[in-house]
This record gives sequence, structure tokens and C-alpha cells, in this order.
Amino acid sequence: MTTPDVYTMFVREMVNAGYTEEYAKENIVMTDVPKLPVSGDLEDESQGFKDMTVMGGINGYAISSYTKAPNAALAFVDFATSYKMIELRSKLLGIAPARADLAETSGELNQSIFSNLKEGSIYVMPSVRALAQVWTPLQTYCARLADDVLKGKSEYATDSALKSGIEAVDKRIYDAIHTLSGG
Amino acid sequence: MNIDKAKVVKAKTKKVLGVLITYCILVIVAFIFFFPCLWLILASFSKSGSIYSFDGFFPKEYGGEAFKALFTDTVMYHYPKWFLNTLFIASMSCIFGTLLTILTAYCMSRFRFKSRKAMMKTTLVLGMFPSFMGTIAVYLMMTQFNLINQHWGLILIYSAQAPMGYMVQKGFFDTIPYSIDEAARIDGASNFTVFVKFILPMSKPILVYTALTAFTWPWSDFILPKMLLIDKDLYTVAVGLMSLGETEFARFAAGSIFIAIPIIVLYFCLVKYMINGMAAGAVKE
Amino acid sequence: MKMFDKTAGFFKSLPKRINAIPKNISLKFSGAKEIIKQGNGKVSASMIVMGLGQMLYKQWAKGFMYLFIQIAFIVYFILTGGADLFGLFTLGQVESNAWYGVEGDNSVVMMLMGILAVFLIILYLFIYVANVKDAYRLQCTEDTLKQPIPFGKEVGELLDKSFYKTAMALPIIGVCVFSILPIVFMILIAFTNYGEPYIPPALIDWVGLENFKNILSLGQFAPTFFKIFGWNILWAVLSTAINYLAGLGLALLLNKKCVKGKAIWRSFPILAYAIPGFITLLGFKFMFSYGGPINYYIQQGGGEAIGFLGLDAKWTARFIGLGVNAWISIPSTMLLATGILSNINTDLYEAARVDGASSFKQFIKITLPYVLFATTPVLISQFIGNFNNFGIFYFLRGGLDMDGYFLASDTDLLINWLYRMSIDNNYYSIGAAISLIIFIITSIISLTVYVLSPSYKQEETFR
Repeated sequence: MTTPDVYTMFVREMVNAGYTEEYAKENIVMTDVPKLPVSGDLEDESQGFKDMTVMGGINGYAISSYTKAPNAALAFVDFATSYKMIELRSKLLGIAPARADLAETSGELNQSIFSNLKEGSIYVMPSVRALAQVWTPLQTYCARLADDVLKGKSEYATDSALKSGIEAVDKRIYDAIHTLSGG
Repeated sequence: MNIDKAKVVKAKTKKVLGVLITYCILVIVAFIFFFPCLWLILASFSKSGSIYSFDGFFPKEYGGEAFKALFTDTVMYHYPKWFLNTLFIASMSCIFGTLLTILTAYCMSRFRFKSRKAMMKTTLVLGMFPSFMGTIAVYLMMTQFNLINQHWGLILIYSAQAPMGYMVQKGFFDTIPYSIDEAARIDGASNFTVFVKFILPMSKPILVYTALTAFTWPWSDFILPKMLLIDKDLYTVAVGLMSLGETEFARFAAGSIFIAIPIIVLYFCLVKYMINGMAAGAVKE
Repeated sequence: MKMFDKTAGFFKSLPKRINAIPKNISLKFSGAKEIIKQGNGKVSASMIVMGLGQMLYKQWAKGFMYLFIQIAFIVYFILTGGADLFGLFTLGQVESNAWYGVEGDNSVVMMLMGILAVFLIILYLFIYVANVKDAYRLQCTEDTLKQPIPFGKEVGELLDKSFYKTAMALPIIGVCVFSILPIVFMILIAFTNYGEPYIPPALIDWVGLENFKNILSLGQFAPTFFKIFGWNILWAVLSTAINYLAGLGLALLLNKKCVKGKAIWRSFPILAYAIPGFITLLGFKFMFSYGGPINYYIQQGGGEAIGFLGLDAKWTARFIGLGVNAWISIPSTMLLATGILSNINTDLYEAARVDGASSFKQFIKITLPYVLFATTPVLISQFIGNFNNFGIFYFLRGGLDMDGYFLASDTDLLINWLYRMSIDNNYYSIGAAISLIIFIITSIISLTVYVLSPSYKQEETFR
């Protein structure tokens, strides 16, 4: 899955290359993320597979209990979460709607995101500062994987290599978070 | 006679060869400096917005869409407003910054007061502190003064930090002979009058140089505005272009070309002053 | 090896200078001693209530101004100043608790306001001393002239003899608040534990030298620090040398008599100079990327795409960094050299040519020393600028975490590493400690070079 603006860019490129827009939209599809082993060990497939749980973020509205205008706040939240407004938000910003009725009618991508959410395959990102330290090591690792394919090397062709790579990333994240506080 | 002729011919060929090599190097250098700019200009005229539809350095198709989108698609990226914002900030900090810098440089050059050498060494040393670490402190200060998300906060910081770079201007004032000051004071002028009526009119090159550098800095600085401005509509051009995202390369190029053009024009018109100004920062024997 | 002799000379003179310090201090305070010994009653009055002495000499306006300043300061101190100063030392004692509605102390803000309080106290002390000195001066003039100087004339002096005081007051305040205060703040942060998990609203404490101890002993800070430091020095020296010499060479080339249309040739580098830096950096990043134009042509020619800035491209990426930095900086050094070369006396070259010197020898013996002398301050600031060049590798390579480096990539400079640690990972105190170390090292290097250079000593010759 990727961000909607990259999706529209690919569609536009295909149209520029001479395909029709319907053909482009038909052929650029969002596939589901792969399934992972239940055992949690990349190399151990004995217990079968299950749907991957991905980290996601859900925007919500909250009203402070100290507010001086609770009714106005409530009215605003009602307005902001109405069908038309969420639809507008989805169109302008590309954010998948969390309303069931809107998700059904606003395209395959939003639908599949919504069903993943309902089934519990989307785990809300923890709102802790330490999360900011997760991205760069992961980003470097993904760059290495892409490099691997692009250059035709096979460093990460086996499951065990992938697993040790992820363990290395895990250690780096742990070090980054705990060096100062844990010691 | 023949030996002399041979020598003359040899000297002439050497000279012609020298000229040829010089011009060759000049052409190569000009090409190296010009090519990336040319590439950016071409990219801004590419028809499709993305960078993936290029034939190497040249877009597959040309069109003015990027420029049009820059000025019309203002829902998320309000380029015209960014441009005006930056123009405002740059003009204001140019005025105040130049004023403060020239005053400081003149005083450091003309007066010999007790803490002068200490101040010179201090400013030299302080200028070496990795500047962005100080921006965290500046951000906290601005929150205390309630100047976050306001253009005047930026203008205040740019103008206040401008006098730190007074060395070039001081070098210029050092070259103006002291005899002018003395002659004026014999006629009864106060130091203030000497400054306003005599020194300033002679200082046009350095004034232009200071104003130009103060004006162009806000166009390319993005660390400070990124920290201090929150509303997307209040962004400066630098921060705004950075927020465009990877899929809009043509727009990014178009936006950059659009701000680069006035800066380039200004630089070309004032290149004489630039050279004078930079030479003034040097120490004379 | 003049530099070596000069450094040796500096160290040899140190004992003498250290012995002279007590005498110098007592010299500075001799003025104060004189005032205390010979001041009359009115001067003593000024010492207690600012402005009283002036008013007793019938200078009402100035007297009231000083009195007003004293009252304003006392009010400030009672309202916030005292608390701020105290807060500087304790850094907050009440932790904020949103559940109980306790607002608590924000340690970082307290430190900032505490530093501001210290600045204001120093400013007030200056004004106080000026007040006493002024009262004493009034006493002296009254003794000699039998009447004090009228206030109007004193204001006139502000525009004349003391013009520098009026003109520099505003810039100095601005620089103090917006340049010096942040630096002091960051230096102090290096001695606290501001960083994960001690971030407001949690309280922060002073920890003394623990951050520096951590850098040397904890985790992988030390090896990463030395590796990056080594590369940083190499980078600063190489890039400054390349930019300077290439700019000089270009200026010399354009200066040659055989070159026609100098303005046109000069316009190309100026074009490169005028485009804002981050734009060209992003352009170059894309140019050298896998999908970029250069690799496009390589692939068309049958080769394989080269990862110029890729993960394994340590030395390629460093080399490209040097090249791009040269592209960006050479126009300005070229302009600088052009301006300076126009001041050289051409007779020197004539004389050298008559003596049979080759052009290379002329360059080494005439041009280079002159230009170096004229631009030593600029060269130093360029060295520092390159040392702390944040943008080049931030844009060119982005954030990568390499093996063997803690939170850094192999082309990162110290300042990039600082940024990653402070902003991305919230290690503010360690970042501040490292920037303090960088600051000490770079300032020692440049101060020594600056003070020992002929440019500093000969500053007075032009007056």
C-alpha cells in the first residue's frame, strides 16, 4: 500500500503513456499485505499463517472536559464527522474514512483499509516519543532490501537472512531508545 | 636569423596554445555551472509532473502546466502567498538588518573604546557555535514572547542576528581615510553628522552589498521558518517548496525557478557591488 | 616555519602574562578605588539611590532617568526576576500533573528565563556603575569649573563623542538576546539531563559532567564520535582548500588579458551562486540517484546503474559531496578573489618577469601570499562554515543508520549527527555536550590562527 498521491501519479503516467484511465485504474491495484507465520519466527512455518497486523494511525476528535463551551464543541464534532465532511476530507487529503457507510462507496482502497480496521489487523501506533526513533533504522533496512534486488545481489534472499536483518534493526532501535535512560 | 625566427614562432605557438587552453577550460567551467540550472529550468517545463518521465536530462514532453498549477492550485500549496510572505520578510529584515549592521560596523571601525578588542574576539568565537543548536533556544524564547507563527518573529530574529556579520562592513569602513573625519570635525561637525553627511554617501557599495545579502538570505533559509511557522499559509517559499513532496518535482522546479529569477537579476545588476563588498572584507596592506 | 616560532613565542610569554594578571585587575579597579576614596557625599548618595547624586547637582532629567531605571529593575526583580534566578538553580520543583490540574514548572523555560534574568542583572550593574561614575564626574567638573555641565550639552555628546554608545546599544541588545542567550542556553543544557525521558512536562536536573562521561564511556558514543570527527576534519580541510584554490584559479584565469567578454564568463558561476542552496542540493541528489539522469545514460550505454549516493557508497558519496559543495561555493570565492586581485600592484609582476620568473613561480611567490594575507579572516570563517555545513549531507543523503555508527551514516558530519540525536531521538543533553566540544575545538583552532595571522596584527596600519 502506498499514499494516494503516488497512486494518482502512476495513473497519470500511464495515461500519458497512452493507456486509458479505466485501464490504468484497473491494472494498478492495491494488493493485500502478505501473511506471516503464526509462530512469530520467520523461519518456522509449522503453525500456519495469519493476517499481518500493521501499525496505523486513526484520527479522532476529543473534547476537553475543561471546555467552557461543551455544547458548541459537541456540535462541531458532529459536523466534522458527518458524511459530507468526511467525504470532503477523504477527497482533499486522501485520508481513508472511518465511517462504514462512506468506506463502502468510496473505492476499493478505502474499503480494504476499513475492513482491515474492523478485523483488528490495524494496530494503532503508540503515541510515545520513542516511536520517532523507529523510523530511520527501518528506513535504512528497507533501503538495503531494495538495494539487494536492484543490484542483483542475494544477501537477503533467504528467510534466515531476512530474520537476522530484522533482529539487527531491532537491536539498533533498542539501543537508540535505551542507551541514555536504561544505561 | 633563422634561429630567431624559430624562437619567435615557438613563442607564438606557445601563446596561442595558452589562449586555446584557457578558453577550453572556461567553456568547460561555464558548462559545469550552467548545466544543472538548465536542467532545473527544463524540468519546470515538463508536461508531466513527476521526475520519472524524463529522457535522461530532458523531459519527454514540454508544457507550462507546472507553472499554471503553481499559481492556481492553491488549496494545499498556496505558492503566491508564500512568495508574498517571503517578500515581506526579506524586505523588512533587509531594512532593519542593514541599519543595525552598518551602525555596528561603523562604530567598531571608527571608535576605540575599551571593550572593543574583546568584543571582536567574542563575536568571532560565538559565530563558530553550530547555529542550529541555538534554534531550540530561540524557539523557546519565541514561545515565551508569543511570536510563534508570526512573521515579525522571523524578522526580529533575522535583524537581531545580522550585526554578528559586521566584519566585511568594518573592513570597508577601515579603508575610508580618517582625514575625512578630521576635516569635517575641524568644521565643527559632531560624529553623528560626520556619519550621516560624509561617510554614508561614500559607502554606497557596501550598503548595497549588505542590503543584498540581507535580502536574499530569507529566501533560502528554511530551518528557522520551519520551526517558527505553523500555518501552511504563513510559510515562506523555502519551507513551502520543501513540503511539496516527491511526486511534484516539476512544480518544485517551477517554484524554485520563479524565486531564483529575481535573485539572479538582482545579483547581475549589482555584481560590481558584490565584488567591491567582498574585497572590502579583506585586509589591506 | 614562522607559525611555529610564533606559537612557541606565545607559550613562552604565558608565564609572564599570568604573573601580570593580578596587576592588571588592580589597574582596572583603580578607578573604582579612586571614586570610593575621593567621592563626596553626593556620590555616596548616588551609590544608594541611583540618580540622587545627579539630582543634588541639579541635573533633574538625568537623575530621574537613573532613578526610574532603578525602580523598574526592583519591580522586575520582585515580580519575576528573583523567581527566575532562583529557578535557574533549581530547574523546577513542582512536576505538572494534568489529572490534578497542577500546572507545574517547565524546567526548560525556567532555565531560559533564568539566563535572561542574569543578563538583565548584568545590564543593571553596568548602568549602576555608569551612574556612580557619572556622579563622580559631576563632582570633578564642579570642583574644577565651579558649575556642572548642562543636560542639553550632555545629550549632544550622545551624538558626538559617545555616538558609539547610542548607535551600538540596540545592536548589542539584539545580539545578546538572540545570539548569545541561545548559545549560553545550549552550553548549560550540556550540563543537564534534558533528553529522553527527561523532557517537559517531566522535570530536568543538573547533572554536571555526567554527559561528558557518558560520551566517553557509554554505548557506542565514543567510537562513533571519533570516526565522525576524523571525517569532519578531513572534509573541512579538503573542501576549504578546494573551494579556495579553485576560486582563486578561476579568478586568475578570468583576469588574463587574452580573455574577451569577462562579464559573460563570470555570469555562469554567478548564476549558480544566485540559486538558493537547498534547491540545487535536492537537484543534485536526484541527479545522482538510481532513477536519475546520470544512471539513465549509463544504463542506456549498457552499463549497470551505479549507486553514487547509495548505502555502500562511502567514498563515492563523500567525493560527490566535495564536488557539489565546490559547485555551490566556488562562485563566492571566485568573486572574492576577483575583488582582491584587482588591488594587486601589477608592477610586481613586471619586475618578476624581467627577473625571469616563470608564471608558476610568480603565482607562488607574489599572488598566493598576498591573497592569503588579505583573506585570512574570510578563510577561517569558510573553514568553520564547511566544518559545520549541515545542509550538504542532510539533503544529499538523508537519514541513514549505518553499521558501526550509532545513529549516523558514514558521510554524516558532526552537525548532522547532532541534529539526528537532538531532533529525531530527543538526546538533547548529549547533543548539547557534543556541540560544546565541537565549539571548543573549532574556536581554539580559529582563534589561534586568527591571532597569530598577520591580518590581525596589521589592522591598525590603515588608520
